[in-house]
Amino acid sequence: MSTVFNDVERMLSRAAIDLFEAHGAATSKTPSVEPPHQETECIVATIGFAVADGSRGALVMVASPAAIAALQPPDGDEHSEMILCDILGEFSNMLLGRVKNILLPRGVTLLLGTPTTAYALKLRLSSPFSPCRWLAFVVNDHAIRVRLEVALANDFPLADDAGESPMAAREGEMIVF
Amino acid sequence: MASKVLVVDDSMMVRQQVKRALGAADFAVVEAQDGMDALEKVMQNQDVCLIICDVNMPRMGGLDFLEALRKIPVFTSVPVVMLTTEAQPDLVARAKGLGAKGWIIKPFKPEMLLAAAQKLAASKAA
Repeated sequence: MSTVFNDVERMLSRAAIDLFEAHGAATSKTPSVEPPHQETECIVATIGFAVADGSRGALVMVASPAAIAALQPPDGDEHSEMILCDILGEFSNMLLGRVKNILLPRGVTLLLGTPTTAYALKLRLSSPFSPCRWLAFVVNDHAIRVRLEVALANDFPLADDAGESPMAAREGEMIVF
Repeated sequence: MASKVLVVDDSMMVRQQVKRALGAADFAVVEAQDGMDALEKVMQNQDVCLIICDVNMPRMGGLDFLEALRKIPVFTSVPVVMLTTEAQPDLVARAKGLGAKGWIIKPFKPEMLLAAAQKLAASKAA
């Protein structure tokens, strides 16, 4: 794996912990993880991204219905597949958004897609075409797995963090025009 | 009569969160799931006093929706607040140029959204 890939993986890991904790969830990262071969039901969310230089990739999140309901309790008593898929899709969007915001001051602008989700039994994910790595988190005592796959057009060096973020604001903040 | 707010987001979870936040005040919420849907909903609800809108959505994103909205004479000045994961300065500048009143980066604080909604709805009514 390239240095850039490792850097992005670290950013993703930090962003995931910040995101889950921002939702009041006790979160820890599991040191290493194998691809999930879950025998029970789970939800999968995936969202693609691209960079102007031709690099591209995808973020995949996998979680059980119980993990999603613990992270963001749905309204009322209804925990339908559609609602749980929607919640995990939005979390994948917020997670990739945070990675984008971390990369902005490093001179990389991700163009984000919109999330796609699925409900699965006995999940088997195919191998990606690009280099990938699985990360795993324990969130409110439930496992949430995240796969990062990135195909770099060039092994571009990330600019040093200048400290001065070009982000317009931080997560949770509002800009008033 | 309750002030009407249009919430545009492809996530049902976000629409529900916004609805709950605004439920603390006397707002009636109309929902749309993308920019195309929002254009239909505003034509059916021309009395909306505020629009809260995501940026990245299928079919039509929030900034393209805002651009289209401003071309409709009755909506040239309706207040719009963008609610998104994006913080890219050129996207923020585009929204500002199209007359948006604010930009919130998800996840949002309900009390902050409610305060902004009350202020903007009051300014529209004035």
